[in-house]
Amino acid sequence: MNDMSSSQALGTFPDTSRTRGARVEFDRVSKDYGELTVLHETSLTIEAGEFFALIGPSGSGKSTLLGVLAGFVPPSYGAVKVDGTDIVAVPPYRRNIGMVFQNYALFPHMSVAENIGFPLKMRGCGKGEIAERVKKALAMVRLEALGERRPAQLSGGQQQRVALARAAVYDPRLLLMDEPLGALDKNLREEMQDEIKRFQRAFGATVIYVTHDQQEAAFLADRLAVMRGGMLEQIGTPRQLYEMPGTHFVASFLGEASLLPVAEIVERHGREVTVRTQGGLVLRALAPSRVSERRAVCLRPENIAIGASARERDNHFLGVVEEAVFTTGTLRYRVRLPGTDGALTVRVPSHPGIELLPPGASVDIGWDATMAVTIAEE
Amino acid sequence: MNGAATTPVWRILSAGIALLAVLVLIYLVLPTLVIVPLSFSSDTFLKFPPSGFSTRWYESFAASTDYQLAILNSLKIGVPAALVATVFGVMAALAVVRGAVPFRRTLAALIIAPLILPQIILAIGLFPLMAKVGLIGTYPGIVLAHAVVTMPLVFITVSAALRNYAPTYELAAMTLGANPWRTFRHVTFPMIRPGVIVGFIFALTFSFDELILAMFLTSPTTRTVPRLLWEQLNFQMTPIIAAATVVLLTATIALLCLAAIAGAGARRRMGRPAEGVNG
Amino acid sequence: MLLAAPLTLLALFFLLPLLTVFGQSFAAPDGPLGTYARVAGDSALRYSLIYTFQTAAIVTLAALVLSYPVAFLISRAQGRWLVIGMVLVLVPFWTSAVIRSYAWLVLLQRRGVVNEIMLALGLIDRPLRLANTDLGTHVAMVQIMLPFMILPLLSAMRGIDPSMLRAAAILGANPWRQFVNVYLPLSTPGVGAGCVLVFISTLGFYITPALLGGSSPMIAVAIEQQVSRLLDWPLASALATVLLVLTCALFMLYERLNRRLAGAGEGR
Repeated sequence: MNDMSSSQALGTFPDTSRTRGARVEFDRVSKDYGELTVLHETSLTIEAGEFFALIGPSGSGKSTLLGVLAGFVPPSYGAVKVDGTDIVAVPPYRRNIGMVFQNYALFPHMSVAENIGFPLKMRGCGKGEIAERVKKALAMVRLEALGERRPAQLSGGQQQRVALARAAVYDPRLLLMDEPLGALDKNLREEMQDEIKRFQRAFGATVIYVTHDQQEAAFLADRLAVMRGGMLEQIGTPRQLYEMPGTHFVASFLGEASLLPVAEIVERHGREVTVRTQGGLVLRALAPSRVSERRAVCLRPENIAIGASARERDNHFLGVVEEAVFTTGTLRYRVRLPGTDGALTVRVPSHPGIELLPPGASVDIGWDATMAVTIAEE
Repeated sequence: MNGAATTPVWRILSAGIALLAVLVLIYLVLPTLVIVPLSFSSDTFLKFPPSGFSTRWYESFAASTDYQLAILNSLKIGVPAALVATVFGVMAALAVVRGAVPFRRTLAALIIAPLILPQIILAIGLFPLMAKVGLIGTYPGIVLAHAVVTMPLVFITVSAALRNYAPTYELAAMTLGANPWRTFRHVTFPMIRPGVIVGFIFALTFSFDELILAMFLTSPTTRTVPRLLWEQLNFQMTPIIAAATVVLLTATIALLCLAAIAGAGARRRMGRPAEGVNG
Repeated sequence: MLLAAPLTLLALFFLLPLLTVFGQSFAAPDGPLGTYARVAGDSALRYSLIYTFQTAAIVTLAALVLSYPVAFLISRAQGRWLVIGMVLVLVPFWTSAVIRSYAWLVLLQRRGVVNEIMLALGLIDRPLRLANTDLGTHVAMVQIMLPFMILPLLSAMRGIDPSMLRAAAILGANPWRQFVNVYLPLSTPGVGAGCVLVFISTLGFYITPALLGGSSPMIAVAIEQQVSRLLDWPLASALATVLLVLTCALFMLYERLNRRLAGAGEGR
């Protein structure tokens, strides 16, 4: 009821104060250069205030999609709507979209303060207002003392924060980030991930974030889209995409996965199926959608139990250890099941009380039906 | 060869190569400097060694109305020609490097061609054309001719400056709200400014030194310094020419120092490492 | 559009004059190819063309041999030495060819600096004829062309990763093999670009040969003589057309080599 009254107070304008962010719609957008199609017809809606990540290998079309939204790449077909208005014909400098570039693109001939003040100057703000808003923006990214420095005199992490401040200082309702942490080393990346997440919560804009790092995307995003070959492969929350991948590509792009190709479906019961694999094993798994095309059972390495506890699982087999290695924190096995070509990857937490099984050892492995999922196999 | 341990044979050989290189550098620089002592000669004709020291030839150079007029003409021609070359050269470089133009490489080759082709060809082609429209012996005629042959110098230096950084800066400026003109004024131009200044100075230097087009397209009233020197060389050999060339040489070196300072200063401000002057 | 203004300038004051030269060369009273027939029939002009080519070849080769060590030395220099090296190349590069040729005249004439010094040292009894000889002119032309060879070589050599030579050394190549099998091939784009640039410039050389002379006029000198002394514009235009065609062909070669040079540089 409160929402109603505030909306009335604003007259005919919709209430955007609660979610400052813009709603973005790609409506059948495609891009080709002559014969070469870099983006196939793509429709996608990103909700207001959402943190949305686009992931995929290089050349998958994620940067093209971002470029279309920023206005650098004119789409060959389709509409791009921000809050319902088609912006395809609007030049980049009138779109009022914030963007953080991969190498920050901080102007080397301007000081940090001049960089942050640049978009305000372009919008015709007065000197006093610019100075005040730059000061606030610097405080927001905790660089109050560095306003007079040149970008080249800052560390990578500091430059990243300046780029963030510059993209946010004019309060855009949509913020694009193109691999913003790509130039930083691993420790700094993790620190900056926390910072970006905090920033987005406080700032409230819709964020579209391009990365090839699936862990970063999963940590930051409310939803993500996996792209491949100029097409959207799957869209969902990080957990949906990791636990219920639709395709082999999505399954292996987000972490490690072992696949068992399916030969025939024996029985269906609700969301579960019983299948016979090409190796002749009969096992139970989740089937999230129609099971018609060629399928495989997908298993995450941490969901497979090994040793005595495996015998109580819905699916249980006796395998042979092919390879055993210690990686920090976990023991990683490759276990071959009878009658199969490939081997399953199994990962168990390591501790001093556990023994690393030698190659050639027979071992029980097993998993519950709800821990495996059938996926499309190409 | 690379500072690592080597046997004596290779050390001697590389010392020999270094010595040869030094000798070539002497051959490159020293002959021109022979003019300097001769310009301070007290003799009335070029004689080596000079029999005495005097500045009389510099005095007669300074007093010569011919030289005064020629220097003035060289400035009146060089500065506007270099300005036209700079504006057009920057436009051409922006279009070819940043724009989406077809036949990019062919266009670049066409723009550079006037610098490479022998000037005598252009001179005998321009002469009848300019005669037809009454431009022979006028300032606009020679200014336009020099602008065409010096535009490549600006084009080359500005193209190099543009290729030195990714177009991301311009894209960033656009997302931040700068229209194409303001993007150029606040981002592109400050980034390429050293290239523009160096290109302008190169164009000016080239115009100051150019002889063949000046020979065909100027008249005694618009005669430039190289043309005057050339005419005097073919008639007399007094040390006044030596004095004049030393003055010219000094002016050239001063201009190049300016170009070097412009380049280095800008690089320092950008916090980028120094590169070769021609970079 | 941005290109409109520069292209208009080029069309009016570059392409149109070249077309004029081309057109003029066919404007002979004795039929369209008359002037070319006269060029072919005139033994002095024929020799001038051959002589120009010979000179360009000699100057290019000499400049290459002399420039390679200089470019190598400068490409390895650091800090102050690098600056000194670049200054020693760039100042002559930007010094008027009129001035530099004049200096050679002062050095080489009958009572010039070289003769006076040799007489004073007792090396010769009578002044030698140095100006107006092929040797004297070639020595001067090579000196004037050196920067045009050194700069492209330098640009190629500075693009060569020093670790290439270290790799060759660790793989067992002695300095000579390092040079022949690694360094020289990597520097060839610069060699090609420099040679074409010097060859083109020498083909159209006017100032130095006009001032110092030689056994025959170079083409550019011949063109100028036809126009200013004989007022034979068609013949001058025919000679210029020949020079233009040759230069254009070589310029295209230069562009191709330069593109390779740029391509090699991007791998840094």
